[in-house]
Amino acid sequence: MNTSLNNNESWFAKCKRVFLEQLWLIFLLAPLVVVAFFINKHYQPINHKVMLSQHNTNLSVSVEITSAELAMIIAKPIGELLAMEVYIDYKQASRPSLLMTSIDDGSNLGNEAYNRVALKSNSMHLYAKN
Amino acid sequence: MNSKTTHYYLRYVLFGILVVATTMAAAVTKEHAVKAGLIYNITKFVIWPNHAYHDEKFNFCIVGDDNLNGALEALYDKLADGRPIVLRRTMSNKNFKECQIVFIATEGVRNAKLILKELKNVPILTVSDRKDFINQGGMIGLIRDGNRVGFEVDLAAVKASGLNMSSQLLKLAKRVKGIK
Repeated sequence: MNTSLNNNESWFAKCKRVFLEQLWLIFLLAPLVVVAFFINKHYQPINHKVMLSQHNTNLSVSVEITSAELAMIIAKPIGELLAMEVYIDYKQASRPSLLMTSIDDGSNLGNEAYNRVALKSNSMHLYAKN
Repeated sequence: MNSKTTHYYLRYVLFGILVVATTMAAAVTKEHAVKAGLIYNITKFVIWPNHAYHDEKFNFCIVGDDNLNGALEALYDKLADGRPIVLRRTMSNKNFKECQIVFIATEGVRNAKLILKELKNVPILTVSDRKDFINQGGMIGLIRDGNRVGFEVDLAAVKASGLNMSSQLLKLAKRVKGIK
């Protein structure tokens, strides 16, 4: 690789040359960062993502799981699988938890209380390791 | 930059793209896992006649794009009807004869009705999460039941195929079609 210093180079050309020369490092480190991200995600179930899915007219989310959880779910008896809550309401899942602990102005108190309980239940379900 | 240097950088660019593309593969969700688990559990309640088998394996055929995102691959070390499960992605209708289960995906299948017509009265369990599956000639349809996943059965289609389904399974179904 040509790394000789050219004094006549412009500032922009110097920056460009230095960037291009270090580009290999970015591509070398990028896969490591990706792998580290997935390892981190695997060992922190609380960070599970949610995936959107459309079912009939209801928009709901289904929780992404790891391969270990997949094996665990498949090993369950049919009664448990049928009883397992799979989808959670999109509106509840996407609302910040801070909002769920406060009561919106002018809203129905009964509904708010119900939503708080439902979110708590869903969150526990969402983050529980099977 | 000369061509040697360009090739040098290009090598890393391609490697980076490959790594990113691999890690961005579709993820398995709880819904996929439960559906795969249900299909596996359903096989425990079904008895296939001897003539349904052509070898010692239990051939689980998948038609179309696997909308369970590979969740069914977790069945590879399991047994069904006392035989090791072998997953097969079937493109041609001719291969159906070797299958014990045909899972018809929601996407990538243009001729689902034609497939079901061909599988009529054949000892092959047809399963899908397609909408209104059992009304189209399918045997077991996976459905959404509130926040849960359930299933419905077309018992007439099951009986006509020569398969024997446990009454315990029928009790767990959300709907049983063709029951007298």
